[in-house]
Amino acid sequence: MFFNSFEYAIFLPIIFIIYWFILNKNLKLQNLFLLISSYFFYSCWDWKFLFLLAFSTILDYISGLKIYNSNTQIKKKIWLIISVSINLGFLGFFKYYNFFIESFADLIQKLGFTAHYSTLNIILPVGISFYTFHGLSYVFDIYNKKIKPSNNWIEYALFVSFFPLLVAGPIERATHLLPQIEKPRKFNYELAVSGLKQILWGLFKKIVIADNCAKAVNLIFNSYESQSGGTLFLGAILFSFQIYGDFSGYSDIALGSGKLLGIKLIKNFNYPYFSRSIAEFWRRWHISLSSWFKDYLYIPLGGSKGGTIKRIRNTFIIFLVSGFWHGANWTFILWGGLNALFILPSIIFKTNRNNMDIVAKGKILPNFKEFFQIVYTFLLASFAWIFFRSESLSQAFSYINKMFNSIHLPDLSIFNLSLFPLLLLLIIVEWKGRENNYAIEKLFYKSKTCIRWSFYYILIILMLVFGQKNSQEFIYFQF
Amino acid sequence: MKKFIYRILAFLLPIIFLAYLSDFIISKKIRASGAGDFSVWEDIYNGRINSDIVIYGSSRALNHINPVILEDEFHTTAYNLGMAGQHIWLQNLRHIEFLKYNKKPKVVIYSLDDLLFSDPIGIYQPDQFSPYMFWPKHKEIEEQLSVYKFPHFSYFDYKIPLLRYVDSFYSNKALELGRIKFLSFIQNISQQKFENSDSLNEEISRIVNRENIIKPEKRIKGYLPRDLNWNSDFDNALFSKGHLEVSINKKGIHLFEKILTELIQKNIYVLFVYTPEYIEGQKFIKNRAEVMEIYTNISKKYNIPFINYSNDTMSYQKKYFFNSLHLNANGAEKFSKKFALDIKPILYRIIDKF
Repeated sequence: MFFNSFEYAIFLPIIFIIYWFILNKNLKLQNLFLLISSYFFYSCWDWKFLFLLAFSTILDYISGLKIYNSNTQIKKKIWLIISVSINLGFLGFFKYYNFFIESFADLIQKLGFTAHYSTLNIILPVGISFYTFHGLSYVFDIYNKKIKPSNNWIEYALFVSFFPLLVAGPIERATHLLPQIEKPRKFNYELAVSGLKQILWGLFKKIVIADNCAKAVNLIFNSYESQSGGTLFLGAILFSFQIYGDFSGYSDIALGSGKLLGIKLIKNFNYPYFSRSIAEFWRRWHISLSSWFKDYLYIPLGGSKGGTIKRIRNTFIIFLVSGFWHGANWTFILWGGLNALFILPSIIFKTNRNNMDIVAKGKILPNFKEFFQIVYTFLLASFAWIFFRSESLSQAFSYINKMFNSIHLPDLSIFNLSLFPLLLLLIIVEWKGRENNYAIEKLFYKSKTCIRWSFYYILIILMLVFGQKNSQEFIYFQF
Repeated sequence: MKKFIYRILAFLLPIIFLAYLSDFIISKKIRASGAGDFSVWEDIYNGRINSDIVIYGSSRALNHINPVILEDEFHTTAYNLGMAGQHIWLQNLRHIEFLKYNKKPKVVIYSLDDLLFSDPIGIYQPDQFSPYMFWPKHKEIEEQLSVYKFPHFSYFDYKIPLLRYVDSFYSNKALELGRIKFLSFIQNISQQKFENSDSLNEEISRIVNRENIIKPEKRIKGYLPRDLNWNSDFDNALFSKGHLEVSINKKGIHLFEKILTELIQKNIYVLFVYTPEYIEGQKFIKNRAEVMEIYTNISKKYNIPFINYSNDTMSYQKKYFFNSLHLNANGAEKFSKKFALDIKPILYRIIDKF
């Protein structure tokens, strides 16, 4: 059940009506209903992996209680290790088994030996990377005494499997989401309206921007050997828009769905392509994942303490692990490493905490310096995305080689030229709304209802006109 | 909460109304375009096919048999219901709808081919059904399309207005037209103001002048002559595959017999014809003999005359074909005349006016 499907358009209102009209006076029933709905939502993907989700949930619930109730530090640590090992063990097996086998075999063969191996036909359970990290953040926070364990297994299970964030995040924290689940929710008109608007904007980014960019990107990447450098360059740029439209669009729909149910989820994107540096970019892109790695990996490794060398080491570890998290392919690892390399100068010169404010705040346009910084950062990110998009390292390197060595104008005939005004619309609206939680949150806020609604109608018409019959799958579902 | 529900309804109601209205207008305009298959579907659904002789089949009926020639020969009315790219499954749809809305014919000439009983996998040109799924709802379309492994339309396409036009042939063409008009406008402006931007002007001209709008096909009582020279489709297929084994779906055979039984029960005279097929193409189909045996057996079972032009001299002359399966316009004209004369002795008892 994709977020941009009619099945979801039927599912969400039914949930909304039952949630607010029938169960609103009973918190326990509300939470139980959401939990059942979430499991139903997940079963639409693959009901066979419900067992894995349930097992991971029970494991972390029990581990949390055991960690909290253990009277010695050793016992606490043992339970933490059990939870982390089993969770990461499942993740490692489903996601990385074949990768390790094949990589090891490649290495053996390069050393001159013959490697006999067999890989398994393993299906990656949808959302495993996300709900595993939900559970891990819970046990870590209990171990670090940031929270007490939940005594209500329904509430905890709902925290792990809440359907808007179950299959592709954002990666929530128990400190943020559990208290909202534990307390009664009252219907808030403004929050619900905001949720609907955010869903609308997310759908626009996914259906109009991401899916249409994907058409051109797939064509270019699948036939890159025969394309000109200009076309390959445009392909890389369009992929940047595709992945942003896809992932931030998904996140917007997830956050909007949460708001409709009175639950506020973590913001996952904060206009990353308006960043003035790579360091700022990584404070604004997939915020829930980068903050997870910062809190549970970077800081335990020492974080920014211990000198520049240590900081560089820790930064590289974070980015390489982050790349590895995205998928079992050397391209993701190299993508992570490349981003670490880009951020290196700011660590060395201690400028990574610059640009904490909103670019050109209160102004209509950025100044020349800011504009240059934004374009430069965008180009760096787009260059790194080539590795992210490529099927293999050799494809990525060939793509880049061709892009720089075959300097010809792009072949416009392979592009849907309607795409460019749509991208311009996206940029203008996102720029206008960059000081808000999502781009259209306060767009035409002070205008009359008819003007606001006309804009929303235009978005819907654009979705009808530019929608794809066979929508591209959300990119982050594969993680 | 009430305010929220009322606001949602107030927001959605105009959209829903406009969606239905737009769907109605778009469907009507598409149907009225008269392009390609629409001219035939419109004739079917408006009961305009009051013909004594009707031709069933695939594109080998559509492109091969000129009904006007039959009309001239038999001094009666004729219509070609051949469907490009469709096998027994959607030929059945056309058969059902034709008989539902039109006067029953005296004769059905069933043009047979190697692929009639192919498995129902994907639908060729599914967008031809879009304007008939809503206004009014032709339920047979949903039922017959559901047989396919990839029916193209989902449950929601039949229930939600405009959805079936999203990313369809029509929306893409409408966008193309819009884009071309916009580029023409830009071209005019740029030629006036930017005399040195030749490469940009060239690019725009190339896109604007590109033959990318399908011109409406001109049907002659359903018949579509194909004024084309021999193309390389067959040569490419031969090179890449060597031979082809066609699928023979048993349910397709039962369906075919069901159609025949219905026609016979309605006292409609049925005649099988296997129109000319280029000889090299016949050899390309590995299990062709098996298919022909099925036709022969069915013709004997139902006592249906079967005229087979597989070994006719036309089948040996490439000049009459544009690919191994299809006659070109010249070949179709020649064949139609020959066919009319050949069936005269069979049909003279059936058609009163002869």
